Amino acid sequence: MNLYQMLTHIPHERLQRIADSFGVGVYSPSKRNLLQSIGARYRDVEFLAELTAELPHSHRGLLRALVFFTPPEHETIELGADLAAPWVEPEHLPGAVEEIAALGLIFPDDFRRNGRVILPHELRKSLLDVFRGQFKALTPRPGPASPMPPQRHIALEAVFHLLCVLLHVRVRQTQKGALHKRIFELWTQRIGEGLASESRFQFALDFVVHAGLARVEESELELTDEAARWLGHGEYENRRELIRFIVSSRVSRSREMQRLLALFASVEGENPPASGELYAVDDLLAELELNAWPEESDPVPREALIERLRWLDAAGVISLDDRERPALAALTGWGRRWLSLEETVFIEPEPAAPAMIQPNFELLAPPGASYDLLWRLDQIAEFRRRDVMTEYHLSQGALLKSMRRGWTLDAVLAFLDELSGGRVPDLVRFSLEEWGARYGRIRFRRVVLVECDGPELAEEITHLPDANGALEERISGACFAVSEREARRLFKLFRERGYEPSHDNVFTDSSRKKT
Amino acid sequence: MTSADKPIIVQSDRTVFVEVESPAFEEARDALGAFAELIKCPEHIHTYQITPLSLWNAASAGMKSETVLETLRRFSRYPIPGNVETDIAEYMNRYGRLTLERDGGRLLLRGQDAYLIEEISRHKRTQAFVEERIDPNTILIGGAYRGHLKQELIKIGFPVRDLAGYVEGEELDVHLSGRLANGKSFALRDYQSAAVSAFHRDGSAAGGSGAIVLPCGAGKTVIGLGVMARLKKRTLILVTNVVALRQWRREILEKTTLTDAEVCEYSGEEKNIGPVTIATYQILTYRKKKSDEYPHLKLFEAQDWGLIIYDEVHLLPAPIFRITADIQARRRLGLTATLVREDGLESDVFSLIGPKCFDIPWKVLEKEGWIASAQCHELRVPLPMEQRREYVMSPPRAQYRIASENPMKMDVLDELLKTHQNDRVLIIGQYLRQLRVVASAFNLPMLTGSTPNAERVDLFKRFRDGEIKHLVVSKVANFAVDLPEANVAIQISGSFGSRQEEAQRLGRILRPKAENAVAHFYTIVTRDSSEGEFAQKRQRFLAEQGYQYNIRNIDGAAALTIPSGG
Repeated sequence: MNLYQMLTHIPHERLQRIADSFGVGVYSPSKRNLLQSIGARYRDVEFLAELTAELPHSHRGLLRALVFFTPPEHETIELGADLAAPWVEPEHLPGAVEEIAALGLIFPDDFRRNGRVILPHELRKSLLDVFRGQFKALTPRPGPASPMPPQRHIALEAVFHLLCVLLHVRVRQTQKGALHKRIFELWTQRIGEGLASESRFQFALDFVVHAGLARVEESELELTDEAARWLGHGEYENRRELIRFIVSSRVSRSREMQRLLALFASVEGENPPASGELYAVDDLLAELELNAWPEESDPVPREALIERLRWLDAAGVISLDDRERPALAALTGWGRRWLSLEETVFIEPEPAAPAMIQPNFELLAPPGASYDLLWRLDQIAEFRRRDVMTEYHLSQGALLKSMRRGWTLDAVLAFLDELSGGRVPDLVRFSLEEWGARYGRIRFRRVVLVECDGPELAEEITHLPDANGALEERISGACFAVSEREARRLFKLFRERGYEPSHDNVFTDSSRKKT
Repeated sequence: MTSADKPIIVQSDRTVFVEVESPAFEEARDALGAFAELIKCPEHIHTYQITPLSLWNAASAGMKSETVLETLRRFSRYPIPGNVETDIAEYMNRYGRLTLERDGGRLLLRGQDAYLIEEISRHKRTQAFVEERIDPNTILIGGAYRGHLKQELIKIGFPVRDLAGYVEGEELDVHLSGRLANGKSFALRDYQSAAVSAFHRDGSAAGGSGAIVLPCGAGKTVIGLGVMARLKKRTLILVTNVVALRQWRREILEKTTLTDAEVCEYSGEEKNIGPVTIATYQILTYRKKKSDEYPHLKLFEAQDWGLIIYDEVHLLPAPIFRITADIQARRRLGLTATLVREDGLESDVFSLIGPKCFDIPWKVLEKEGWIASAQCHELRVPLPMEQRREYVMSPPRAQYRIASENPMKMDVLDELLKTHQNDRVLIIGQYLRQLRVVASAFNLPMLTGSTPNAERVDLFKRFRDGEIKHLVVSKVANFAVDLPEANVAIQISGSFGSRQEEAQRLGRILRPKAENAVAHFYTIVTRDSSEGEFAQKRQRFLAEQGYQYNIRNIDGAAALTIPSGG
């Protein structure tokens, strides 16, 4: 629905008042003429700025939250109480929405019943410009070059590596409920010193638990089946999920966070910074203080603001030059896209080129390899390093570990063949086959021994019609091995046939029931 | 070239992967060689590393950072990580900001950046070598500290360009022979002449020290002879072991005008000093007790040497570095196939021997047939049930021996010897008992550590002449054998995973053959045993050196069909 269509929902009298209030000249006061004239003015950023200035600051804050932090791809938006919470008390929310709607800045979609409003794309775009005018543009300066390929999402990387750590290590909580430091160290080894930080780790951990990818069970943090499914959703969906988490966990209820993000969106002005350029944190915070709305002016200690910057950096929304003592900061490419400053949308990487398996057992996965594929690789090979190429090492230990997890040798070889386009070197294939062939040659399994007092009796019970082949595994003249399930059935059968079998606490549960 | 055709992938730690199947592989490999070190070259992707030293080596050859970046961008499939671009520009711009020069008897360190000079005069690593700050851009350095200063400057990230020149050394009348004893004519190949000129640089202070990097078989020794003939000075040659020493001596006598008396051996066996003296690293670093001085290091001052040649400079031991720091006024030539050292002392090679002054693209060497190729085959045989029982009940070391002496290997060996009946075959093993069985079963001569020298020389000669085609060689003899005529090696047992040993054995058959035939290297191992596991480790190393392995399971005499031996 476009803006013109939306404006038709405003009563004629209200339109006339808007036209009068803002001096919109109308040749003939018909609704059609009013709509055309006012519609043109709603695309005018200066006009909208004047219009929003009429609103109380609380309503402006609410409108800004709607513009920045709701999914830009949708025009119909569910305005949850959380997002409005920093600005308007829940009981006043419907009234506030109606007041904003009265100016034609949003359009309620039966808000009192379903909590929905409509914000047309073209109006969102103009309002975005209005709110970006709150803070003045700053001059960026060169920052340190990042070792991470720009197309990767740092928070997703952090989540992925945490899931992989959980895949390989039993993670116990300390008595205070924290995770052992070793987990952070393992995660740091994977993601690299340059990208690791405690705040990033914590972000990943919060997300993993929030999304149900892992759960705490008897003081142990363990993966759920959802982890593999989630990685299988693809990166586009994973990124959307991250945004939902960011908004719900830290943005929607925080006036300061919303203000900070509006600041980052504003300081770019018309010209986004060049790659690697950042803004001085001192300049940013000074601007934040100078141009705060009255409701925003509660002094927030600098260290608290820096802490929020660290969190946004951990979430991949902004990047900092130094996470300990940040002096420079700016939105990341992904942050810009999220705040609708950039029209480019994330496109899933092209299907990856084949991975390379080398005769020295190295496996190199190309940059486009999906998290889903890397996740599977992590299960069958030793992770070495994630860079432009992701490096793994095939080893006996990793293969046997994967087989204990349920992979078969054939499945591993088929996966490697598929990955490499059928180019698994001889040395690797032969070694994997040799290692894999050792697995399970000796097998421990749980059985119940059925022991008769002699071979004659043993022979006799094999002929019982209801034994149904359960006594096929005869391990000596008078002994059979049967599965636990069959044992229970046989026990009952023998008793019914008058054999009066005894047992050595094999069926403890059932005997307790009887007493 | 489309993006997918581009062979290079640059990682953020300055590792560079090069895809061998790319149509631009050769071009990229040759371009990369100028500023990156080859680390490993398995089948599909070769790994290079761009290090500060590799960049400084490039800078010393006159390459600019823009050229390096342009090369990477040209061949790189994905954008180059930003930090790599920054690092390359920063490191390369450091080379040449400082120079060492001589002003009469004074040794001066000069730099355009007065702040840098100030920093060096105060830096705790370098201040001990500073005698006086002459002006904002010049420091007077104690004459004895030339090498030490260079070592320290590179550690703080500012490699110095040494233009302080050399002492001339005593004259020596030496020329290359135009004709060899067998009547064949002899001359340096074009790239060998170019290497000599790159080192010599018309006798200027800009040349006279540095490392020449060429792959095995490209004739590094001959380049050494070319440099000797160009300089015509008394020369001290340092080599890794006695085999290499004798090989050098043989080459010098064969390919130069020097006489037997002029070329002396300084080793554990003989300690003669002459106009050209060849010594082993082993003897130079020998001392009775750990607390003693190294008595043989005085060899460096025994003559007025005009040239010191360091063979296999990547293996140069630390004490030799120390003495080399004191003799920076003598011309120094390093020869090696790689500048990568296992001990990480690459920067000492750069500062004390000199920057890389010459290398040559592989393409040229391959094209001209100066590098032989080898096919590696691993044949896996089962252990008969009787030995299997003994094997499982034995401790690990005994298990290894049982697997190594697996009698099933004899059938495979028999088949291989039939396949290669007209080739020159070395049968190499770890255990004398096993070798004796082989020698006796196939009626072959055997060479071990205890074979008397006269007999050894006789066996070598007969093998070279083709009178003996198959020769059994023990591990001990393996290190003392130089039989370039061998084109097939069959390893029936090896030591515990020694990568060096496998490489050495393979090296025996990797010399280019007159008929340009492919060499074959067979390893017979017992499947599903500790021997197989150790073999795997050795092979992984060889795979990283670029050798391809064909592997076959041999499941009994009936199934025994040996891969084509060429």
